[in-house]
Amino acid sequence: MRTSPAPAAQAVTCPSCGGTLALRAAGFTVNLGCEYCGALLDVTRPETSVISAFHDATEGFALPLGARGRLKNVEWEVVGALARSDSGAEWSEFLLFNPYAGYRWLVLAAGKWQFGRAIHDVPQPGTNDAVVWREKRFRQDYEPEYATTDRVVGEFYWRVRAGDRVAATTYSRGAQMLSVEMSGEEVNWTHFTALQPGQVGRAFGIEVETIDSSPGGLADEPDFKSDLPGMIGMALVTLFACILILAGMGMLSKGASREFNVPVAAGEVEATVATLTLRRPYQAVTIDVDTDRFDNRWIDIDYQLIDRRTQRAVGAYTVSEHYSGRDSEGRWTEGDRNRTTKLSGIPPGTYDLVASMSAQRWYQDIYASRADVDPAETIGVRVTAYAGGAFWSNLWLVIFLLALPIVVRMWLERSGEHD
Amino acid sequence: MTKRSLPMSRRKFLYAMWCASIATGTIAAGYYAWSPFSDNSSSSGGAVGVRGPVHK
Repeated sequence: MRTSPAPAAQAVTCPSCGGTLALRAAGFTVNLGCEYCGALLDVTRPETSVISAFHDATEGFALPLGARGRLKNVEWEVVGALARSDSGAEWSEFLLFNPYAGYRWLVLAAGKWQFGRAIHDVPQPGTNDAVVWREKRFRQDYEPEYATTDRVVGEFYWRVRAGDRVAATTYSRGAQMLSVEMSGEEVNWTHFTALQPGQVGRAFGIEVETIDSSPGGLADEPDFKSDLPGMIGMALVTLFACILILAGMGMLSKGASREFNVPVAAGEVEATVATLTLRRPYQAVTIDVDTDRFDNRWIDIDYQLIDRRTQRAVGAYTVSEHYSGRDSEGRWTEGDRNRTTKLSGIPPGTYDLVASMSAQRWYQDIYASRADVDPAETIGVRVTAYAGGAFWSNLWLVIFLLALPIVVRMWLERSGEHD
Repeated sequence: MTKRSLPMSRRKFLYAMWCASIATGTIAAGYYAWSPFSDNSSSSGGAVGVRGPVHK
């Protein structure tokens, strides 16, 4: 498929049948197939000569020569038609012409229409038999094979005749396709876009026979449907199920709590908070700390969950802290007084939860208001222990694992990889 | 002139299996009360050093 610009119309008499033919792209047309007798004429010489004669040449083409229709906001006229085939398919190609827009192609294969335009920015080789054109990856549909021109009707801007053979293949990306035809030194690329069913019939005002599908042909690429909506739906359902699972399996028992007065900057307080009896094969233990209001202080809290039978201990550490101040941007606060600690995978048994706590002042507060420091200052702390607990942070892991294939799929689809 | 393509339903099926395995993993994690984000530590002794705001 080749390209060129545009000129004016002229009348030619067929030397074979005497019919009057309109030469719609005079000056560019080289070959003209007679629409009455099918003879293939050479119109480059003043005396039009017959190259070869055919009968019923126009039969079987979905669009008649001279048909006019509007596609892509341009009025086109059908000036030529080719019947072509390869080892597995037959298809029709219609050469469209507009004096201002030049030439385009309409291809009818397997009942589907494609609109094509010759391209001169040649696609570059990509990986895995793909090509890259305008930064988009097109995947090869099949190995190159020979396409044969079986019939020629109308006018063309290059010498074409029945029996011409070119090596051809196509590359697809969704509803777009690149076709390449190689003949000797000549390589011609065409970019095609799929047209909607009925679009050609409406454009040309005729009833065009189309079939939903058939094997082979340039347009046998099924319309690309993204997997992403389905995958995202499955991910949301799974995420919801995981939330229910976490909530159902992480229910808390009735808590046991104890209150402490922790002296500030005056040593450590250590005591048993609660005794927990765990019965499930494995269980989480949740420990909440609620404190009185304090500022510019922190409380280090060490936990030891000690198995009464084995004296083995599982430890954990947390800190309750809160700070505030004022700077050039205004007042700021930082920290969290109330903390939750979760222990995982605790086997069944009877456990003592021992907490060691020590409170400290932030040093800037000491220097800023030493006169206000109360040496007997204490902070009230309530520690509550529960058997059980849901690890909601596991949801981040679930979200990551669910999203990973979606992100990969999204990337592949954006890069044109549909398989 | 046929295009070699993996049936789309197979990809969705594989992803459905992936989702099912994640849900199964969540059940297993619930049964074993397991989390990579738990606060367990083998020994105590976290209460060291001086703390304070990280503001500026």
